[in-house]
Amino acid sequence: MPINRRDFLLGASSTGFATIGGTPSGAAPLPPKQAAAFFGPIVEDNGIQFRSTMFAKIDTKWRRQFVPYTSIEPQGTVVIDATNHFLYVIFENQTALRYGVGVGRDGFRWYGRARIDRKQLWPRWVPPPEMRARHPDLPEYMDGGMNNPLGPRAMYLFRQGKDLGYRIHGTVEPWSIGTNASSGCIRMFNEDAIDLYQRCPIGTRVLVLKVLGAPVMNEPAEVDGQ
Amino acid sequence: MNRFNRAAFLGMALLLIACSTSNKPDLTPTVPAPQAVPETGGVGAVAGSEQDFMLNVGRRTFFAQGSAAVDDTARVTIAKQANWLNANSQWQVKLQGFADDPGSDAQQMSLSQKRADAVRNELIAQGVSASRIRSKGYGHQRLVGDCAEIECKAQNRRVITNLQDGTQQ
Repeated sequence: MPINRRDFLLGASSTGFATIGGTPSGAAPLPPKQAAAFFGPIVEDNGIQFRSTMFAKIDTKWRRQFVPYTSIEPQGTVVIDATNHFLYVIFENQTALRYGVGVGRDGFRWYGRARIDRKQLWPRWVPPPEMRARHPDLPEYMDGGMNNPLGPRAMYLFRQGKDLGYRIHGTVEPWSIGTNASSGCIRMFNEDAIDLYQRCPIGTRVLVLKVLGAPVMNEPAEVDGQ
Repeated sequence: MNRFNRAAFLGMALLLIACSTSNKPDLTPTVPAPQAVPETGGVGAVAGSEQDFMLNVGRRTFFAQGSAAVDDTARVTIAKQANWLNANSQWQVKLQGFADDPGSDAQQMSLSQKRADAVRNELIAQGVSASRIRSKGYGHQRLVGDCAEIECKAQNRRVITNLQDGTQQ
């Protein structure tokens, strides 16, 4: 049953598991005044408005930047270092473009290879049954928009043709970048999700590592939510 | 105002108690006017530099198998490139098209040239002077990754927008 966004906001904040307008999250809830400091002006993307990120408030290390990077992975591969909360896009000349990300909280992290087989602008959010079982207040789905926890872009991760249930997407909780906050998804600043979307064609390789240099574990990812 | 925020904070802190009172925190924006130019989020590049272009715009435009059509995603990439080039007129561009698609070498050469020309036409439509743009197809060469899977081929079906310093021409 669809519920409107305001109802969802009220419902979420009254039960205490979510931060404002957020997906069930391990990030510490912020008082509204503190949360508001993370947002800049309202901006528009493909006809939908969202709160821009106040990057002046963000630690520089979480912002998109070029870094030296030696890898045997081919150019264009997305490598995620879950422990250090970085996502890399491999460039030529031993360089990578690095983004800060939020990853799964304890018990929700996963490792291994995946592939972006689907991409979506302003994705609809459909909390999986497991997540709704944990958080019965969640709606069955939420259309793309300002308060949708997936943000303006989602890249859907598959392994051997099977949807892993995990996505790389934006966030309504910019303070959760650099933390273990999600239920397994890789979350980015909305501006970064928009940027990455342009750089990753369908078929892009994704590799999730515990830390850079760790052996590739292609463990069966337990699908447990977003 | 202060009192309201404190009340809202207490409302959150007490969580289960305050379920439907009116002082709920709500970030639904009250500022209506969208800003035209959001901050891009990248850090560490001088505005107008080649690194700025790579960091905040991106050099690569991708294409579907066998196609030189500019799809919705490619159009966004090219529009960002055009905006940047229009604001940084010191740069010229060399568009390099590539292919890793079904067909003979000659067909792939042709396809890669069509891809480069498609980006060129779109840049021109977005206001970049034709005199600043050169385009060339390289066919099935300079593969980013060489394998039969989409992981490799998707990366190869591309046009790279290379910046060239116009003052040195």
